[in-house]
Amino acid sequence: MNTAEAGAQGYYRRLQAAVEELLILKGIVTREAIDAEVAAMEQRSYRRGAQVVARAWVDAQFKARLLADGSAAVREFGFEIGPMHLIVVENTESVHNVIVCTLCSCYPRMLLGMPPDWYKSIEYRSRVVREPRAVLREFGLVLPDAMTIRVHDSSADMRYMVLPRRPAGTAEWSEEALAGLVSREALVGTAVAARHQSDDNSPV
Amino acid sequence: MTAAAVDPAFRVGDRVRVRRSDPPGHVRTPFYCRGHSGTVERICGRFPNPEELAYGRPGLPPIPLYRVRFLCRDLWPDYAEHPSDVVEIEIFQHWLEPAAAPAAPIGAKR
Amino acid sequence: MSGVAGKGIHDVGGDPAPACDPDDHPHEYWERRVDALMVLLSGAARSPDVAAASRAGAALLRVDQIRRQIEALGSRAYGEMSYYERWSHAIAGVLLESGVITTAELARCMEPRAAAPGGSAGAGS
Repeated sequence: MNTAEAGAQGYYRRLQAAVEELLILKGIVTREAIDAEVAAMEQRSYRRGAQVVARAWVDAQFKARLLADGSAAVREFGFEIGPMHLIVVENTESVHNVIVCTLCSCYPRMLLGMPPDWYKSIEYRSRVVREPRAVLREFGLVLPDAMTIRVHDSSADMRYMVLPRRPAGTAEWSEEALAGLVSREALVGTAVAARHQSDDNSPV
Repeated sequence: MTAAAVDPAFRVGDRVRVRRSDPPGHVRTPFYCRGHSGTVERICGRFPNPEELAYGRPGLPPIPLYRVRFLCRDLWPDYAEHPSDVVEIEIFQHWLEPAAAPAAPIGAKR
Repeated sequence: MSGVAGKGIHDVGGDPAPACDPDDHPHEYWERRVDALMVLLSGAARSPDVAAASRAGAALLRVDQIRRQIEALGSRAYGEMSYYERWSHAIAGVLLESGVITTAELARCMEPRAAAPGGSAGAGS
C-alpha cells in the first residue's frame, strides 16, 4: 500500500481511522491509550528476548527457571508481558527448535514485539512443519545431519521463544555483549547465535 | 450455570490420537495432525474453548490443553529429513482420544 | 488455497508453497495503530492478576473472534489482503457483530472530509 500523505488512502486505512474515531467518540478507548500502546509496542523487540537469553547463558539457575516457567522468569527479569504463557525451548548439541504458527501468526508479541513478515507468510507456515531443513536453508542455516529438529506449532494459548546455544569462545563476555549475539531469527529458530555472521550461518 | 471443571484425561507420556473430525467454525486443531497419533509432552493447563470464544461466548468451563509430540515421519508419509524430527502441537482435550481406542470421529460423514 | 472440504483456507500446515523470503519490511504507522487497538480491545497487555483484570472489566473482544472473521474471508481475499488489512476488516466485523458500532456510524465516519477536525480523518503517515 502506498502511504500518500493526502489524497487517496487505502480502503482499510480509511476503515481503521473510522473505527478508531468511533471508539474514541464512544469513550471506549482514548487516543492517548492508543498512542501509548503504539509507543509501548515499539519498545518491545527481540532485544528483550536477547537480554533474557544472555542472562540464561551466564546464570544456570535463572536458565533452569526460564525453562521451567518462561513467563515467570521473564517477569522476574523485569519485563511486563501481560497474561502471556511463554514456553522457552532450549537448543542443544543434538536438538534444534523452530517456532511457527501454522494457523495464523501467534508470536510472543508482548515480549518480542511484532513478528517479521516471513513468520506470518503462507510459505513459512506451510512448509516449516513439512520440510524444516529446507526452510532453514532458505534462511541460510544449515544444521548438522545428526541433529534432530523440534518444530513447535503455536496453535493455542502458549507462546514460544528459543533459547539458542551460547557460542563458543564467549566465556568472559558481559551479558550486554552476549545479548548482542542473539538475533530475532535465533529466537524463532531460523538462525543460531554466532560470534561472526557468515553466509552459511553454521552453528558454532 | 457453570459446568463442573473438566479434569485432565491424559498424562505426560500417554499415546493419544487426534480425532479425525472436520467441523466448520473456528478450530485450533491443525488439519495436518488429525487422525494421527502422538505422545503427550506436557499439560499446559486449562483454557477457555477457542471454538466458543470465537463466537463471543465464554467457552467455559476451561478445557485441558496438551502439547502433543508427533514424529514427522508419522505425519508425512514421504518425510525425507531426519527420522527423529518432531512437530509439537497444542491440542485441546476434546480433540484427543487414547491412541489404542477404536476411532470415533465426531460428525464426519466419511 | 486448499480445496479440501473441512480444511480452512488459513489451515496451511503441510501445504506445498514457494520458497520463503527472509526479508522484512518496517510496519507502516497505520498498521501499528491496528496492532495497538487490538492489544487494547483484547486486553492482551493486562496484568496476569485475574482479580485485577476482572475489576477492570472484560475485554471488549477476543482475538478468537478476530481469527474467525479472518478465516471466513474466502481464499481470494485471504490471499490478496495484507496482514493488517485482514485485521482491520476483522476488528470492524467483530465490533459490528457485537453491536459496539453500527454500519451507519461507520459509513458517516468513513466519508472523505476536506479538512480533518481534530486529526480524526487520518491516522498519521
